[in-house]
Amino acid sequence: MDFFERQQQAKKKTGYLVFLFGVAVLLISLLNHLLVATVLGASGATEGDMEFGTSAYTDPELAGLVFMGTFVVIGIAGLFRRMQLSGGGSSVAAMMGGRLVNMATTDPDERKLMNVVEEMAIASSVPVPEVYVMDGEAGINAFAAGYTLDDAVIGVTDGCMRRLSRDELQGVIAHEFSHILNQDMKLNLRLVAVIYGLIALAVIGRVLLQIGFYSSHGRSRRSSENGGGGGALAIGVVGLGLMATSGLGILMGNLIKSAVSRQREYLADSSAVQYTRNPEGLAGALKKIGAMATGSRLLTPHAEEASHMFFGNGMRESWFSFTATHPPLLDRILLLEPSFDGDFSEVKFEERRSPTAKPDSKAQRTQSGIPIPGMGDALGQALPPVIMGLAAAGQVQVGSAAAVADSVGNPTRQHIDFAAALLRSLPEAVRAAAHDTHDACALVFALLLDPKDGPVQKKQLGQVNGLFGEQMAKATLKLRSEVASLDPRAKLPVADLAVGSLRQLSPEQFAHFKLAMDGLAKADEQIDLFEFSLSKLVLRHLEPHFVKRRKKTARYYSLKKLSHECSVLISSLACTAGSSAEAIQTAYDAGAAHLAAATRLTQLPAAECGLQELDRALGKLAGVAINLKRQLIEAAAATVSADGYLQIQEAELLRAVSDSLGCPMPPLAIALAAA
Amino acid sequence: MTLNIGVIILAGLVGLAVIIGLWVMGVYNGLIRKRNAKDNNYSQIGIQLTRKYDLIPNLVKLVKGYMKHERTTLEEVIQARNMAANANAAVSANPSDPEAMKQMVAAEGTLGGVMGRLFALSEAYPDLKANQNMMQLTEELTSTENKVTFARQAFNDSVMGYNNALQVFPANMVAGMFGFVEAIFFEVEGLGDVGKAVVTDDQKKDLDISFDDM
Repeated sequence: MDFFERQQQAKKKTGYLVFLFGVAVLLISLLNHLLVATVLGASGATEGDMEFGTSAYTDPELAGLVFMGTFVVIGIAGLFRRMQLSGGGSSVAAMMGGRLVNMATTDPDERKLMNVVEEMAIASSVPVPEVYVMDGEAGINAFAAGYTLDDAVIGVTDGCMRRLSRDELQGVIAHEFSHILNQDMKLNLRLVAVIYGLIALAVIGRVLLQIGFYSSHGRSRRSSENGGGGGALAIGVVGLGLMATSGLGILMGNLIKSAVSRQREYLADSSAVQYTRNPEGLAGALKKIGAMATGSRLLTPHAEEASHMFFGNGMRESWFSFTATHPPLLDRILLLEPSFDGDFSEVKFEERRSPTAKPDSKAQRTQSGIPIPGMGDALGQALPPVIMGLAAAGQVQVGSAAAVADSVGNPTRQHIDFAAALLRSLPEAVRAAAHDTHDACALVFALLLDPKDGPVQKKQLGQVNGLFGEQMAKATLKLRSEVASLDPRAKLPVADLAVGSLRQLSPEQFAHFKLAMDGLAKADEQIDLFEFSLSKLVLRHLEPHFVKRRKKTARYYSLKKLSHECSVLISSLACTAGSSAEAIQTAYDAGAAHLAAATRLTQLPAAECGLQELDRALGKLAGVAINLKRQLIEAAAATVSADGYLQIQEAELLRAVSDSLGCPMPPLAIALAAA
Repeated sequence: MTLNIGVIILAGLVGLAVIIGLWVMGVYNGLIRKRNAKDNNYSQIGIQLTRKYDLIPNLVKLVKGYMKHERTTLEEVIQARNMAANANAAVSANPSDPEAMKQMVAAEGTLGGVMGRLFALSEAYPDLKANQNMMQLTEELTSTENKVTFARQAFNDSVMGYNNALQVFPANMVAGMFGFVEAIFFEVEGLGDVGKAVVTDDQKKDLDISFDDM
């Protein structure tokens, strides 16, 4: 199952969920109606109005009122929760009491965690997500939350960060990344909202019960008269009944939640193994959960509401397996390690390090501090020869376009190793700059700086100086030489790293940053491919963080109406792929063949399919259904690799295109597809 | 029928109570979120400040060799640096505490003041200014100070967002109920002075060089 299918499945699950939930609410409404009618009938009967009592069940007005009331209460509460969670992942992290880990942290355990997260982010080509630590939670647990790739956050408990080895932590983080890539988080947030609606109904029931109880209590004391007590009693009974029906509703909601969640957990486990090719890591983490007294239990009072988001079971073991949000621990371990005998007493823990202990990452640090003669050598140690081939020749042979599309959202062990090697090979100054908000700005500016020390560069530095002051221009200039020596393939991943720090900008600073980026890219009177790819990547991932109103993109379920956009995409990619008219034609034909069945394409001259047109077309194409995106990416891959080879530039553009469509393509996917 | 109307009114009242309850919760959660965002923003400053406090002893050690007669100033610098470092540690541990924040701001102000004085005094020691290490340290301090300023902008921005959410009319009742307190802005006048002193130093140095060249 590939990325596209998994996303489609998640979407189907959401539809199924909404349906089940609708059924549940209808059922509750019906029960409520029966309840109210019975109470009304009973209290009517005491007044001797028998006729009213029997007809209350079929009274359409009453039925309408009760049904509407139930729907409105659940709807409003659910929408309310959804609105609250519209902040995406960070609002969930806040709810859980998480503390944002600073990217420049010096705490060795936090550093280790950030390194693992950075590797995984680069391997799967998503910007480094915000990482939160839940201090004071000794259990081993983690969660991922957010609506999209851009507002995704990862949260881990203190115990998870400090008690797991690097491999185990990598397994857990890979598991969470698979939730991010599979769009499980959106599903999860919807579940939270839905269940909250049901909880609101229960709260109303309790309030009614209390009102009923107190008023009947007070009245019976005040006077011995029996007349007024009936109404109050009725209210109390309705309240009790509401609590019962909503209790049933919550149970149903939890059942739905659990059923969906358990399946997604298995899927995430298997994806994590697929990413890391290291089942021992994940199995080790699960075993430690089993061996620890606290296990994966959480202390935060919000654990119940979000229990389905977590890596391990955050709640006490429930009595019934069908209400558990997670599959049994042992089952999960056995899937990863069939020989496990279920004996947790053998599990060994490393000494719990205090934050002041000798940093483990120091060794790595100094290693990377040693000057590495050539990027190719450093990478070559960890990489299969085919990637070396790319480093050497700047191009690589391509398998098939389908293989390229398969790699989307599916990082493999090789990608992770590549990411690790790439991170290690980065000059210390670049890495440190990516971790600091101020220097991360300078780093992005340095990437956009004209390589020649000429009037263009002067103009660019002047722009930085004008918007951010002299120090920023100095920092940019300082980073220029470091950036210039970077492997070309490392440049976009470095930007992915920087995005993590740039989220800390204030809105005003971000506005300036955007202006500066625009100015720098246009300084030489033209926007080249790299500038296009870079600004697209950085802005696309940062904007949702600062612009609260999400732009609504129109949804398309067929490419028929988008023939112009598709033509722009293929034509402009073809222009990049070939230099001669003949080569452009071959490239165009290769790509167009993939889309021929879906829409009618016309080849556009180079003037009509510039980067600006491409940008506009991509904005529209981002709204197409996920299975169509696969077709688009395949067509794009076929276009740029029509000659059987892929240049770095083409690969970067392909990545930018894929990224704009919301499909993260691992770096060098192409090289690996050929391997 | 009278009962029916009673039920409707009651349902309305309950509905209202629920809506108010939800609203209170919404405000509460919103405030928590803003406060967390603000506290998270502080960590960015905290890291840079720690860096700065690590640099100052090196500077003092270096300067001591040249400025034999400015012992009291150097002692003051060290003292102010220690106080600021402690205050920073306190705020980092609990960024929501306005008292700790106030002390932090005050300590930073003091430190900025004495540092400004130190740099002013160093004017009188051309050997010191020409020292390679001194130049490097000053450069390092300036860039760190600049990063602090940069991070402070973002922090003060989120403080303003939080305080605004706290003070607007109906929300302030909720805030009062749950004991939310206004956050303190990180505004230090003295800090700017250090930066300026260093910059003017640099500029003067440039001037000196050009003068010598002539």
